[in-house]
Amino acid sequence: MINIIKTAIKIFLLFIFLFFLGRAIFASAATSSKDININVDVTACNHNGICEMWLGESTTTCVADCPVCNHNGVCQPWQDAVSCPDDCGPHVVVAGGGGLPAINPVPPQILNLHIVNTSPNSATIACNTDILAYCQIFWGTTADYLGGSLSEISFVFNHQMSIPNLIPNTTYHFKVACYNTSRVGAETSDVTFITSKILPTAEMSNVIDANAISGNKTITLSWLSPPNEPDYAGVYIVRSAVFYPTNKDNGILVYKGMGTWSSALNKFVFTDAGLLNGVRYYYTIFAYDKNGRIASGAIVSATPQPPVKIIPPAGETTTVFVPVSQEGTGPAVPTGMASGTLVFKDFDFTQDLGLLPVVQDNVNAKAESPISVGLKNYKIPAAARSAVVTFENSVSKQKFSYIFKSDVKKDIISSIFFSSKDAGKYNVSIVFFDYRNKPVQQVTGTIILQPVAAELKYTQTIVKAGGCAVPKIISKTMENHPKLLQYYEIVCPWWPLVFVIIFVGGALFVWRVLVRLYPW
Amino acid sequence: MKKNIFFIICLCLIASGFLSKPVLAYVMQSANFRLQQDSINFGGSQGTSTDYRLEDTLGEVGTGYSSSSNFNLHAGYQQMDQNTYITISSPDAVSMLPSIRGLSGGTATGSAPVAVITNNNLGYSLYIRASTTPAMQSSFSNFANYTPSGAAPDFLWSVLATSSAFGFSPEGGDVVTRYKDNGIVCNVSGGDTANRCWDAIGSTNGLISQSNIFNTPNNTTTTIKFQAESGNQHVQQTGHYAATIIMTGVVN
Repeated sequence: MINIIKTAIKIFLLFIFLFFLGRAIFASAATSSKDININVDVTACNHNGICEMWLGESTTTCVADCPVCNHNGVCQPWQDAVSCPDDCGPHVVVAGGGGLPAINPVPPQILNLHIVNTSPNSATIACNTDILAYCQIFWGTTADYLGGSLSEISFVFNHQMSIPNLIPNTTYHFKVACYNTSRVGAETSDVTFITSKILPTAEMSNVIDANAISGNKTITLSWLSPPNEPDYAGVYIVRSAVFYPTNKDNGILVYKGMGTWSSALNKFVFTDAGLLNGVRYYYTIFAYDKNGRIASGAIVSATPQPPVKIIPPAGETTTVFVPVSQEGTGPAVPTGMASGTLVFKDFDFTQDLGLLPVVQDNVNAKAESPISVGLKNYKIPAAARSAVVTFENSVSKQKFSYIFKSDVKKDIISSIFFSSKDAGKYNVSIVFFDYRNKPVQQVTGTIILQPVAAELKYTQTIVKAGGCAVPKIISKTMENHPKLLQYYEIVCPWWPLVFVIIFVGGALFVWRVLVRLYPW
Repeated sequence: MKKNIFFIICLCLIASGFLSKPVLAYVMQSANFRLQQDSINFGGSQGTSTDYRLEDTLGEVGTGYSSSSNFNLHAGYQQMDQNTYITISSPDAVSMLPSIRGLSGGTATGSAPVAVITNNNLGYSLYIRASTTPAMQSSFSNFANYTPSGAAPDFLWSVLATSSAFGFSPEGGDVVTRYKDNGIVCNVSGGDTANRCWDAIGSTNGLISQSNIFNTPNNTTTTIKFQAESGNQHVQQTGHYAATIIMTGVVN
């Protein structure tokens, strides 16, 4: 019995050995492996002429924005006395000057401080100074200004700085400090602004500033991202040679993505190539976000044109080819088209989740904020199969067009676009098209955009004074600058010196009198 | 004792029968011919059973090794019945250019040709993976792995303006269907448009190229396009970022 058990154990062990041996033999396969190290550098430098130390810019990482030394007598925060003695070394003492440093004691006046614009994530602040100065801006959610700071690096009269990476719908505090060439400076009192809201709209906002420029067999489309869409992920660009595509599948999808940033246009661009000259192409740019929402579509159209051959004058041999450029933004509508029974106030204009009243075909709205134009389904003209709203600046005549889209329940058609940052009067045209894409009905009205820039009240105080042994700060009302409540100016009064002279002279006189009276 | 030894040997033979796989190979196969082994001789034959095939030869002529710049000739009976091998060659490092600006964003690109050579009659499979997750990292920060919008790779590279990402796109004659496109979408049979079909590099092997035939004496190159982008509304911390990408070739 024991022998049988021993034998069974041996057999079991042998099985295990053979099992692994078998696997080793029959499961083996030739492989080869290679590591590749992929490297990329992220630099702090954004070459905007401003040394943003809080972003990591320094004389080492971004000498373009943070020069080691600019020899202008001003010691910038990122400079030091070792590498830049001209600007950061001890000030030269004027011989015979009583030991006073040779600096300009008059600080710059900070004038016309204002908020150029705010978006959900940024704000642009501007001001002027009465003399050449460089300015710094400090900001934060409290008056401690812990959010960050920006500094200019050159002396100018007009100052403008943009604060990035802000939180939407949040109150921010900021102050501006400006310095003259002697680093004598002044700063504003605490000022606040509120960043724009990001509206939780059910429908996706369209891209803004969409445009088309035609070339030889090409059309270049340009646009800007919808500023109020934090989950914006890109655009679908759909092309048709018949009419503006009303949805993503209503034409040829020629592009999907964020586009390529064009520094020349300050917009995102995409160039559609390989087109036929002389054929009008219709494009709809559908913004989409990472949640699957797709905007109703911004529309543009253009016709590629062949180069124009210019015949040179007699005697010249050079032939010049000038490319033709043509822009198109919206549908062409015959003038005087009837509006039928539909009127401007049949449309619902909403902004900031509130309904905007329509008074005599006029709507007052805020600039730089999304506007939704909607029409209930039962009001849509019977023959209409699509609709386009065009928004035209009454002065510049620049216009942008957006297509309408039906909601999921098919209760309403609407289009959402971000209103222009420029306040003023805008002509609105809403055109309906039939199944043959012929315009059948047009409704017109006006939207008046009100500016959003806040009126600022602030004071200016001296933050650093030099050149006076006993400086005096005086208060002065700035009548010519109503936004500046009060201005404090530094002066070097003469009376301390007179006092010293009288005191010393008096002491000497008394001494001499005493010496004469008591010669011992 | 002798009884036990005999018993053990019997069991070993039985076990070998179970654990060993049948060894079968083809002499000629397919409509277009793959002449793997043959012999010119005056003796020898093929013998077969259910599980085995015996091949022998006698008096073979014209045998030996010879080579030219383009070919290697292994003449003789079953000379090609050699060990299979696979070799991968690629650059050790790739620097993506240009540098990305941390505040205003930007895109950096680079590429690495990965050449695979194998004598395996059934070809090879080429896999890619990264040594870390996410792949592209610095000491303090990272680029997220690229996230395609769906299950298939993105035909067009797309990164949110408020984020950053690192991804890749393989190109070459042997890329698998996942990275092929029809000019609009990926993961369809068709072409291999340059700089299209972007995907993430995960920490597990992902199949990017495959062939079912040997490619000696030449090789097959799969070019891996790498791309990193920081959106213009995203602040990417400054520094040197690196990813170790591991290419693995396996014979089929």
